[in-house]
Amino acid sequence: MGKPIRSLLWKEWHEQRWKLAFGCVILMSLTAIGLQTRIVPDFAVVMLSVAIGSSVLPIFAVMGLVAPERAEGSLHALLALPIRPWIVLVVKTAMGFLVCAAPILGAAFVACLWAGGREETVPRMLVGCAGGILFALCALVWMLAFGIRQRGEARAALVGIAVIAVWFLTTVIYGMFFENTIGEFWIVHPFSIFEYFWDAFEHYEARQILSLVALQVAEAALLFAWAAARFSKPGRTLA
Amino acid sequence: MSDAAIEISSLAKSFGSKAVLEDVSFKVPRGKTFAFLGRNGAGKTTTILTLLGLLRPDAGRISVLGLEPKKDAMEIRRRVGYLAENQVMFGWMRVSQMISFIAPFYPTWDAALARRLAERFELPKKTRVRNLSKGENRRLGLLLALAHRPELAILDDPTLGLDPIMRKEFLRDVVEHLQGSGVTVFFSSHLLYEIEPVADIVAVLDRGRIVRQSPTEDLREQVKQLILPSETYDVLGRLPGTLDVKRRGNRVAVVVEDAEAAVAKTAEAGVQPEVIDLNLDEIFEAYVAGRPNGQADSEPVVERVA
Repeated sequence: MGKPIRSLLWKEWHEQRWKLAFGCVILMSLTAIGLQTRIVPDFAVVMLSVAIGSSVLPIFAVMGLVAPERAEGSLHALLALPIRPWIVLVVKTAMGFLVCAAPILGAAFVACLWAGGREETVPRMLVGCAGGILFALCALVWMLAFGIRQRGEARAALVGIAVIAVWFLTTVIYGMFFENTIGEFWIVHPFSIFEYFWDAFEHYEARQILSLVALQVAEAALLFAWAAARFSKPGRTLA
Repeated sequence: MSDAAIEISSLAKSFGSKAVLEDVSFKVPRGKTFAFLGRNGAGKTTTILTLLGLLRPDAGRISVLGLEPKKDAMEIRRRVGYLAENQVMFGWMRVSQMISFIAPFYPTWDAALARRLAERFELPKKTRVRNLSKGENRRLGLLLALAHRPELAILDDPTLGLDPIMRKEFLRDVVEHLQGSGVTVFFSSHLLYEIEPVADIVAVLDRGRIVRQSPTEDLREQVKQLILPSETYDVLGRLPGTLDVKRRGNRVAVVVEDAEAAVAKTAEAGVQPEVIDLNLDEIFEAYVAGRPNGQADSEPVVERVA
């Protein structure tokens, strides 16, 4: 790994590490408390933690990646360095992904340690958590792509919330009007990740899940390319 | 190797319908200090961003150290030291962390020079960047721009927001470390008196156009104010290269681009005008304030002064 990338990683780690620690503590505690109290089945506890984590953590992560630097002006200093802007964005996204994935992995670890094999098998819990991580990655890239030009954490968070809200809305509309007509297109929707991974052992074959992963990653890659193209453009008239 | 560190021809850039640069051309010879003067909003920062490949021009050709920003932006940024206008750095970093963060981006980074500059600039290494004073912040920016031994230093309004003492100290640092070192300096500013002692060549940018480029000495020798009786001025009409005209009672003060030619014209009419030397501030004012719509060949505004 080149020295400039290590330097960028060091900077992003310093900026994001408290979010990562906070996410880990909250999600691992939530899972542990749910599994200890046994009010709902173990799998429901784990999936609830994963669903909350994979929806909220990307908003939390995306708030601190680009928007605050754009607002305070330090992004200009970063983009004036001799490194390609898309590399800066890749490093930022990677750190954002770590902020999302590490707490879910932590929750998976707690779940397997605490309740693995009790009501649910360890592989099923792990596959469910893997779905959560994939969903978090997709959500992060979607939020980043639509919020890349925003100045300030609050505006970036609002864009993140709007992305999740639109996904909910389209899911409801799809369920009400289109499920019977264009059912095969459901795979393009990020919410389909939960369905495919959580029901992986009952309804879906490995081939179908791999197709879903490939499609979602391709969507995320396209959105990332769109974000990268707009990342370094000045947002106002400079004279 | 080209003898010019920077060469720009017919550069144009618009933001939406607003044309910021129109047909800008100039050349900065290697090893010289080039003062790029213009009012706020004249297009100085836009020009600098195009030099570094941070903005794409709409038209024109640019060469920086013999490279094209469109193709070789990374190489240009490696070989250029850039201090941005109002540069904001990462406030949470300590000064030493900031230096360590920037160093790996430049293969030619000279850690010993960075240490020497930090001592020379009296930068508190343990202090967080957000707690530095404005002067310290600018000096840290200067250190980061110079410690990789750039061939070209681009300083965009580097003294903006500093008080006069700090400005003087900052300029002293710039002069000490850059002049005579063979580094080409591109110094953008709207404060002319600070540029005057350090600049070899001056270019004046007004409303997106270069209205004058020449060695500083030539500018001082050629641009002068002539004082004439009103009736003589009215008979003579417009003098060649008139930049600014002010009427003061029965006398007219005319700032001309080429004093020699203007005096020759008045001599033809048998008048010997009073010739007054101007400092760079007054010359700049004549160029940018005396013309309507920034047109270089337009008739200057005649101002009546009581």
